[in-house]
Amino acid sequence: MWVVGILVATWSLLPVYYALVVSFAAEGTIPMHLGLPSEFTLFNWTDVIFGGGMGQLSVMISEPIWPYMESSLVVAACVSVVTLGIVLPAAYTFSRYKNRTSQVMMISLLFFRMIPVIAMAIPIYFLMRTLGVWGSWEGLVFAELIYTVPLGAWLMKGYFDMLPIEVEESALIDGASRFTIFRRIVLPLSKPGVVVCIMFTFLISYIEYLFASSLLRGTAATMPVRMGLFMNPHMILWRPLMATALLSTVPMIILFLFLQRHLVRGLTFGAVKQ
Amino acid sequence: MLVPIAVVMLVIFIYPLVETFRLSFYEFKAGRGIVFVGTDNFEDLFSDPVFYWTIVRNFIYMVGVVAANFALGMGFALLTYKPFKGVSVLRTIILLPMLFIPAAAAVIWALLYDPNLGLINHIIESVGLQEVAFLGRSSTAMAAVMVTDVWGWTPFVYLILLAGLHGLPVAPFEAAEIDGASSFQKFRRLTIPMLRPVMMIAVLIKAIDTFRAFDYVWIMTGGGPGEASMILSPLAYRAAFTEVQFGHGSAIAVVFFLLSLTLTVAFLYVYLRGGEGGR
Repeated sequence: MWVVGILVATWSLLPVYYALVVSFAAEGTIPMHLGLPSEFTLFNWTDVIFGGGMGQLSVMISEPIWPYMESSLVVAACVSVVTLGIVLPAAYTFSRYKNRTSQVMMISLLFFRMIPVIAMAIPIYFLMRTLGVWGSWEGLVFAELIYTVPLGAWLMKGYFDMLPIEVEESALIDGASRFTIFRRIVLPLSKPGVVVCIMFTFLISYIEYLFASSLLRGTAATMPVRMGLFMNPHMILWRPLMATALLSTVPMIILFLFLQRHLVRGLTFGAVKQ
Repeated sequence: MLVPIAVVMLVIFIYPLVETFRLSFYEFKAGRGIVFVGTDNFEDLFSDPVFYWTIVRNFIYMVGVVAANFALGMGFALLTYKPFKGVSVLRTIILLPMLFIPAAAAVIWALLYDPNLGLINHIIESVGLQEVAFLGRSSTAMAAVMVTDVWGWTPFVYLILLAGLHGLPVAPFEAAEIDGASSFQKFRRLTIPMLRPVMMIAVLIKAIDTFRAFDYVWIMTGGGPGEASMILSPLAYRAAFTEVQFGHGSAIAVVFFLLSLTLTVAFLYVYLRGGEGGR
């Protein structure tokens, strides 16, 4: 039993441990076997955080991490807000009016969730060029909706389904409009659902790579793209790269601390309740 | 209230899909812009054995990764669903790879595989064997990428299965206990059948996402060496965005789209039939 536990822990932890060790290893000292490097340094981390140190190799890689982290966070935050604005009224309608239109749209969204993103990526690229937003955040925010709108709509519809409908009915009888009901009754009651929706859309756009790498250039690039840039076939700067990879987990750690209880529902499109 | 979502669906899904189909009959030619080429792109694809191999690899990639994900996720879930001393620590450790976004997991494993700095090669050398450039050899590159994908996404499958195990009713297990069933019998006759819906959801979602996998392959090998680890998403991406052959890329995307459509319908069929009770 203990042996199995240790094997499992090794599988999960060893890559992380090694990345950590290499990120602290001084140039030229290679951590051999499982031991620690002969010489520790903080330079890899300070280079990544404040920039510099690798300037002769590539302009982009010598830049500080913050602009890229900022892009990632700004894009993810904007995607969350835009997704919510689109998804909330739609999911409420799906939940309260279970007619043909609602069903067709729900099924279409599920279908769009399943097709390969690359089947949309090429025209999206041309669209962004035509609109003049290629290379900037706005275009990427728009493209990320491909992932977040289907998930958000299904997730929020699931939450609205769980709300007691009696309150809304009595408000309707009292003469409240649908919009008032939505704003005054439904939204306050579904606050936990909205929070989960925000976090998941944030998560999805934070980890996204395909659109981020085809639509962004320069310092507007996001964290995944920056890590991809390190993978230069001629020379990979492993030490700062490991520091970058470890730093990229910081927003994830914060998100998961909040999400814990709701992870399964979000990951399964609302199909498995925890 | 459905107008915004309808507009969005039109602009980000329907228009690009139609446009991808249209573009697959065109090609970008230097100096001449975008030219109509008829079915040339498709003829090129289907006369190229490399393309068929890419489709085959795409299936191997999906089946291999999903099977390993499921086996590990299920094993880990069975190991940790009953409380014992230190179980919450072990659960957290199992979930840890989830914190690493695919790009981060890709670069960390690329380091592990590295012939000079990599941990795996240190271990191989320390037992006296020849070092292996896992990502640089055509016989190992794809398997190496698949292992990374498995590492990164097993926590996802694990979480779903763990939630499923915790959601099972207790009464049948107590009854079986009284009747003197062995733990293997309980597992076979109770756990597996009752967990089936959750297992299917986990496998379904993972299979659909793995079928269109992109990040790990693109960052770790770019499909190489040669085409040894190339699958469909990066192939279409490379054609369109690296080689600037938008028509060729679109044609790949169209074939890919039709393949995944077939697969989705097949999955849904199995899923709905499995949901009707079965065994």
